[in-house]
Amino acid sequence: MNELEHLDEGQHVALVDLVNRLMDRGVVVSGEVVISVADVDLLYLNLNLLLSSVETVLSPSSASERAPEAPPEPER
Amino acid sequence: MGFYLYCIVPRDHAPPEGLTGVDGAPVTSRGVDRVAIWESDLDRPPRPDLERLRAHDRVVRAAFSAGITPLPARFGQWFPDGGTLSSRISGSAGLYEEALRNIAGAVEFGMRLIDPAAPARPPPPPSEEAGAGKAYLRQVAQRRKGGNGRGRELGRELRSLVGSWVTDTRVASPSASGELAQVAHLVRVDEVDAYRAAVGVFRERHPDLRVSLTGPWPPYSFGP
Repeated sequence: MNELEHLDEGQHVALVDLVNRLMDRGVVVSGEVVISVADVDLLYLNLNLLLSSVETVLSPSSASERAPEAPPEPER
Repeated sequence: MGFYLYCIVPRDHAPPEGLTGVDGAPVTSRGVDRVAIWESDLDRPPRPDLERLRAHDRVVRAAFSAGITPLPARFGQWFPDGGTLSSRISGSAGLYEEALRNIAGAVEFGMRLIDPAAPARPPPPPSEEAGAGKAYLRQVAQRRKGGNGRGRELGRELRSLVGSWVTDTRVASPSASGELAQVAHLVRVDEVDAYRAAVGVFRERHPDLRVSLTGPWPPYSFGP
């Protein structure tokens, strides 16, 4: 992931938006997502090591389990 | 041999010849009820990494066509057999059809309003003293409340400027300190220029704010 070391701010935000959209939005057909919590954590950890803004990457809830106190879904 | 789902599209909308997706797998389409799905044959659920996320997004973007906007699936929708996938889609076909109508000919933009003057980090976590935890939470709530008040005001102003070009909105909770608002806008393709111009006006009015606009995206935020 060397490409992530030289992102300008716009690219950085776009990357965070990509990850948020694919991992936290989009239609969930089955009512659950078949990805382990560990895999999701690893994804965010790997991105986190290379992105400067810790908070924006760490905030989404995990894809496969959603605890009641997790951040709310995008709402109307 | 399982099935990995990328998106839901109108019936009879097929992928271009040779399109590949996650792990280079060919992308095919299948009619289900009154819609169609784009999928790949995959042995197991794909682990999320940047390359796979991008591959998924690329397939969804390839599904855009004149007047057609795909309904993106979240990353990771894998099914051990085609029948399970089909029956789950059938079960909500009416909802998907309606969503496809709502998003047809449109794209998503994501906007964040950030106050660069806000502290970059949240207050430090409390020490182990009794009552410190409660005081800390009250502090965080106070800060959030103040930020959100301004966020709501800015949101109203933004709506008055871009409202004509936005057909639907989803509001997300701000996800970082200093972030006043985070919204997703659904914008018709032929109104994107006018929308961007309106965002430009908003930016000019608030030189103290960082207005981060990303897109166009497939409408991940506008599913049923």
